[in-house]
Amino acid sequence: MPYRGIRLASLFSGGKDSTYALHWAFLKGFDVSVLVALKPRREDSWMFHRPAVELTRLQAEALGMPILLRETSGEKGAELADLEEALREARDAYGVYGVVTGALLSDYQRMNINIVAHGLGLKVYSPLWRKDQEDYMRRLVRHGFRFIVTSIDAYGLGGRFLGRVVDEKMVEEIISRSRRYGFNPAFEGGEAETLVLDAPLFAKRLVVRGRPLRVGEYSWRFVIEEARLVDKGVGDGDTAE
Amino acid sequence: MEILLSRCRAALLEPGRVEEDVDILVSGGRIAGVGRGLGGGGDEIDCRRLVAMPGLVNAHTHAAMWALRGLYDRGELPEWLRSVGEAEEGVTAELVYHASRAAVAEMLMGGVTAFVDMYFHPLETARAASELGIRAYTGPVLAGEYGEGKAREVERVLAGLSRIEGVGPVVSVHALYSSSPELYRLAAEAASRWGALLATHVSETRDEVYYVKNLHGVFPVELLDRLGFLGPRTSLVHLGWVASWELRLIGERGATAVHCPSSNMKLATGGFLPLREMLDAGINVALGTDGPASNNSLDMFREMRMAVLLSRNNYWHTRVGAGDALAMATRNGYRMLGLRGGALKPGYLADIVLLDAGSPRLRPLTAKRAESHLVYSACGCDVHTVLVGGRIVYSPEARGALLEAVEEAERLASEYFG
Repeated sequence: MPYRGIRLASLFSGGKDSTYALHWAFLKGFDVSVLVALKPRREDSWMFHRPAVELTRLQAEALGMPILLRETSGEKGAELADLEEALREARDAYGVYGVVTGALLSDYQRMNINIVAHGLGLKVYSPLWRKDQEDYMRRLVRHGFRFIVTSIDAYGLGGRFLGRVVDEKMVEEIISRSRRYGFNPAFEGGEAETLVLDAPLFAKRLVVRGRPLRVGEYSWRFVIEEARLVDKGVGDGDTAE
Repeated sequence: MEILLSRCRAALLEPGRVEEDVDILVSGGRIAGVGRGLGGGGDEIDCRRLVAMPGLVNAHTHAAMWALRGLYDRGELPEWLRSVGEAEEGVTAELVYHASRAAVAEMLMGGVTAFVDMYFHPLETARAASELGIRAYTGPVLAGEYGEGKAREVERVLAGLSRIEGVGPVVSVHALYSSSPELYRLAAEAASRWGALLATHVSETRDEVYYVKNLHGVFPVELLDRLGFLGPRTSLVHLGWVASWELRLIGERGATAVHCPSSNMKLATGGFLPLREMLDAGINVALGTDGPASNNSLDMFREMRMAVLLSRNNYWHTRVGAGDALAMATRNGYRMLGLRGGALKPGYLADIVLLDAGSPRLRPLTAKRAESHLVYSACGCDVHTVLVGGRIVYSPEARGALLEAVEEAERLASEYFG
């Protein structure tokens, strides 16, 4: 019988952190059986990344993985109850032993996920927790993760960072600006949201077209107007400038 | 009484500072001088083939659990505690005394000059430690519900300890999941009155965080603060599941965090003591082996190595290094005890470890490599001689007597547990 690792669910937003954590789990020999994504209805959700979360279905297809996509009210308390419900479903339907998350630094997020998971008898793996954020950003790009910034809410990050694939040069610029303006270089404080277009375990890559929209003095959104999967190595121009 | 440790092959004076061919003069229990060409009117130890370093503080253990070593090596903490708890029902004062002697012998032979203990029959452990010349901190351990009997017992034990030479008092509460909040208040009050240290296991497992948050609405360290348990004399053991906002609280209160990496890993607690953040925040972090039934070693050299390796693996980063581990095991341990020790400097306590420079594990030996060897390569078995307060408590000549203590404890432990 072929070896099967311990089954995990991935708490997946489609951003760089949850995607990287998912890869970590596979590399550690876990069998990540299902993606669990919560789609907040509220704009200012405090726990889950809202922008671009709708695209997770396409990302799940690119990964060839099933996904449990659930709506959440985004309200404090209720959001934890929604998370609990989604994880219970993953546990019962897929027999998972634990959940892997992309929590980087926020203890609020990490501890709350742990408390919910504990009640369900699930372990939590947060491989990125307390990692050096600058190193992590460089590593992401070096390891073949292609992602764009889809929203910005921080002084020091302008609209020109939106919608472009983050490369080594842009990572250095983000790091340099984070030092100057005092935001977290990997955006753990919610300074920006990202969308992964391609990653080592993606069988296809995502192509999106959209436009930047300024929604506040230091707030921008990348409005995605079109998204599709293409075979890897086909075409270019991931995004509209 | 004076002792000259002459011409040490190398001496780690403090983390980051190693000198070769250096003399250390000990007088009146303290270090009187460090340098070259020092004379002395007393005894002399030729240290040309020895490496000197400050004594190691085992900041948290349960020494008498030496008798239980190797019996229960499976199961996460709750299951492990149940298994061990059943065995402990038959533990007597006699067994605690002898097992403590064996554990102290083992610690001395491994370069431990002071330890903080938490176990039943603390007066027996205190007696054993005092006889063998190690610095020991032990005292009443509270668990369960508050009762007048417990308050009286705390007084009885602390009074008893005050009559035993070389032993300092510590009032311990087992953990928030096993002890009522009133016991924490009782402990803090008694410790303040007796000038004792305070200790508790905290944020060791996710179960505990879950339990405390559900019952009290706050996280464990936050609850301890509400109970008046946090202060500069408090040691918080484990902290693998501590939250970032609790770190600020620990720093503000000046409490010591005690890291027990081997025990945490062996019991699969899955936590992550945020060592780098603690050190950056100026929190005093000391190092402990935890008990010989959950580590299962009392070797602080192994523990230093483990602390660095676990931290590097968790962070994916090499920011924590040998110097940090040495500081935790020496200087920070003494700071926790409120003693001027943990460095080879004039005026500091003459708690000194001499290692065999002939050991292949300490070679190639040069000043720039010595610190690395002590953390990444040496083990307790490389220790040659140990001084506590300027008195030789372990040497090749003393080995036989210490091993006799081990023989006696082994005989009893086998009778009890097979």
